[in-house]
Amino acid sequence: MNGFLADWAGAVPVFAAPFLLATTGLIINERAGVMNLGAEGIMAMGAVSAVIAMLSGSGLVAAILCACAAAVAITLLFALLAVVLRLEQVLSGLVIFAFGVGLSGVLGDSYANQPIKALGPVAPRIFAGLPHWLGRILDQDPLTYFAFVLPVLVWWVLERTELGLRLRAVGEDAPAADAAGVNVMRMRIGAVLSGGLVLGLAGAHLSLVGSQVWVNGMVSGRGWIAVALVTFSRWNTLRAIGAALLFGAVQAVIPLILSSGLNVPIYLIQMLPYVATIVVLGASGIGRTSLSAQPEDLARPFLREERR
Amino acid sequence: MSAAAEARRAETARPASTIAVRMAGVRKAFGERIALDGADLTVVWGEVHALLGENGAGKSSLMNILAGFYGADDGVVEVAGQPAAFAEPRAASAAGIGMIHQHFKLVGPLTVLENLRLACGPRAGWRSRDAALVAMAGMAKDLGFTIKPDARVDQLSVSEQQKVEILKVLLGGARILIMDEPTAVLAESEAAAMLQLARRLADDGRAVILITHKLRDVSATADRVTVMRAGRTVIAGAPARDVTSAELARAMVGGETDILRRGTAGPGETVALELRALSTAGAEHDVPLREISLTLHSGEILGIAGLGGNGQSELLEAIIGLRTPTHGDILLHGEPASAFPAARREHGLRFVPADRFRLGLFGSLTLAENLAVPALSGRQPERRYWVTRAWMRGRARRSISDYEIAGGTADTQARLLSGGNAQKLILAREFEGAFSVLVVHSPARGLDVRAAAAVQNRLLAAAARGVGVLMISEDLDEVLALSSRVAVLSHGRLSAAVAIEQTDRAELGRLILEGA
Ligand SMILES: Nc1ncnc2c1ncn2[C@@H]1O[C@H](COP(=O)(O)OP(=O)(O)O)[C@@H](O)[C@H]1O
Repeated sequence: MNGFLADWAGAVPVFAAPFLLATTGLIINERAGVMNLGAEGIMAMGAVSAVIAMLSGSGLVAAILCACAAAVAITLLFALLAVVLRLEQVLSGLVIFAFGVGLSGVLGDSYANQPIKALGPVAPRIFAGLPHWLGRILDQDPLTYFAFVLPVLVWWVLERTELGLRLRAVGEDAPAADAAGVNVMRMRIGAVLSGGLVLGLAGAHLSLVGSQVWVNGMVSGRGWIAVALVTFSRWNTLRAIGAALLFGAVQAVIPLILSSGLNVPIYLIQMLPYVATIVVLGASGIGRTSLSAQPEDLARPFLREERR
Repeated sequence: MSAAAEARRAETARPASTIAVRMAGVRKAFGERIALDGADLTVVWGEVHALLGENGAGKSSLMNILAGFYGADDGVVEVAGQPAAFAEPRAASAAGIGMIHQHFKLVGPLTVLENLRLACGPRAGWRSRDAALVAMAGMAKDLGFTIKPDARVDQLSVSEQQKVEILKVLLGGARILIMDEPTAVLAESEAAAMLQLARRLADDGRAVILITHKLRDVSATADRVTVMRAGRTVIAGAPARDVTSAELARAMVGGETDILRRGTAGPGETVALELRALSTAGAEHDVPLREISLTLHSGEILGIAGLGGNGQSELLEAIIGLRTPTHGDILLHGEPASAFPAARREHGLRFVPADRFRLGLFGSLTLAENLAVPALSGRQPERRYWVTRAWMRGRARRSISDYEIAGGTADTQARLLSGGNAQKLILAREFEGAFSVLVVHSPARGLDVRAAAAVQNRLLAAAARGVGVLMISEDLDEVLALSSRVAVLSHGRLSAAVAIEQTDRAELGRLILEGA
């Protein structure tokens, strides 16, 4: 049983990292008042680009950069629709979702199902002296480490710096921020693109660390779960760490149960993350205080001369 | 217009260096609607300049252009002698223009200090939170404000928020201050202090532009006055002491000066609405109602006086059924009122809320749609299965002409109406069909003289037809002018109602301040 728990504990950070990166990226978006429902599509683009780069002979760093570039490129399209042209954000997001998932399938067609050299743990020897299970948890690859550092960094920027103050102001009350001299459009575009970049990293993590192969449709709803996790973590990236660990734990248990030979229907087990999403969203609804953490101007386009 | 001609002569004689703002021939259209049709304004340093006009005259639009929020279609704008067409608010702030909007431009979920840092940080060169704190404390002390820097802005009262706006504008280094109806949201004593502050800021050498439609504010504070009507300037910078209130009123409303006379309705015998020891729970920002009892007769106007924030909204919401009482009963025509707002409406209850767009109108629906909503809901809708636009438009056109709703057709979105016209739209809708009890809250708040009179006359007419009108108002003049009986709401408690002849302003003032 100790073996089972250690395996599980060791796998949790890897499963949690994509959720954490994606949720952090989306929180950056939403704190600036932009709702990006295209996360799933953007992650798919990140995942496929990283694999294509690897199979084309680039190194790991280049592959990660490729994933970011592809994600930013498709996010730029979203920024154009939702922020510059001020189209309905929900609709723009759905368009990007469909486009991203579709395009990743087309681009990845000839690269599908070819294993790549994985991004592995950094330095197993450092953790040799620790208890087995703790060593398993701490011994991770660089991208996973980064996934757990980034939320802290983002939290610090949002809550403690001038830049964060301006970003939050834009998300809470764009006309007031405008009156205070903040360039609302620039701020929102900046937030959307940085968020997109982080979503690209989430995608790269999925293919480089997680599956180590490109399979069409492999993001399989994680982008959508991240959208829900934003609400669950109440727009706070530190809370997102906990939320992502919870979901990572649920996902990490699936392969273990499957391989343990327990006689449970496979579809029931694979349903776990989605059931967890529903439970968690329901729970966050029950415990809700009257002061909602949702940015007041979320998904509300801004035009200076418009009355509202 | 001899006053205007004189003023124009004085203008040309003034040395250019004393002129803070010069706007001439400014035009602005929003789509089809012309907001400004060649407006002029000249303001000199060191004066309080009143900008007067009816709702919709274009005062706010003109000032939004000066402060960089709107772009002018045409015309000259100069600040301190330099051409100044600001493309965005930031550029105007940098040029020393600070505007305090009627609806404050503060980020509610942020703290006071965060709001100040957001707006002034880069310009004031604050390196740290502490620097901002010191600057804020210094300025607040100088102006005599006490505001907690770490309080969330949306938890402050309206007058505190206004003070934050003033701090924001002054810390940002504004030399030209625009105050858009600063006294409209304040109680009488606070308003006087605010006007004194405006005076003091002007005496320090700044230029203060005071948008108002209260003639009293003009005579109390302003050095000069500019009057606008329908997007044009009709009196340009006349010395305030040289023009009489009557002249100003005539200039504001144009030819038709016959503001309708008010009267007082007499009470009938039957009881329309009764509250028995009504109490509500006090949630976070709400004032709990405490054992409120009142009796409203058919055909009377019962005035509820008191300062805002003493339970007014809570009382209205409890009566119309949006707030469940913890104790006590509400009787409509002698029967316990249903728990459902819709059922109360069918029982003859109508209401006009203070916040026209929160409980009153659907801002993004058209006038026709707004007017049709009640007719389509309820147990016996006017139309059950098939609703046509033509039908909605037809009945809307009738209401628009009956209620003289200007500034929109049946197909205009309701949010584009000015305050007075939005209020008339609510009245048009609520007065449709048969009703017997009307609850209104601050019916004339923010309205100009003529629109206020029109609304108040509708209330009197309703009472004359036998409707019981409960008028919750924060304006004592209004209560005294319209009510047949009056009670005072203070800290959620209601004093006993007395006939209007048996009380006076002093007595009510004491009750308002000290409670029953
Ligand atoms: N942002 C806007 N969009 C559309 N119409 C507007 C806007 N701002 C003002 N208007 C219209 O311009 C006219 C002048 O309004 P405003 O300047 O607010 O007048 P005032 O301040 O004198 O009450 C009104 O008819 C109003 O409906």
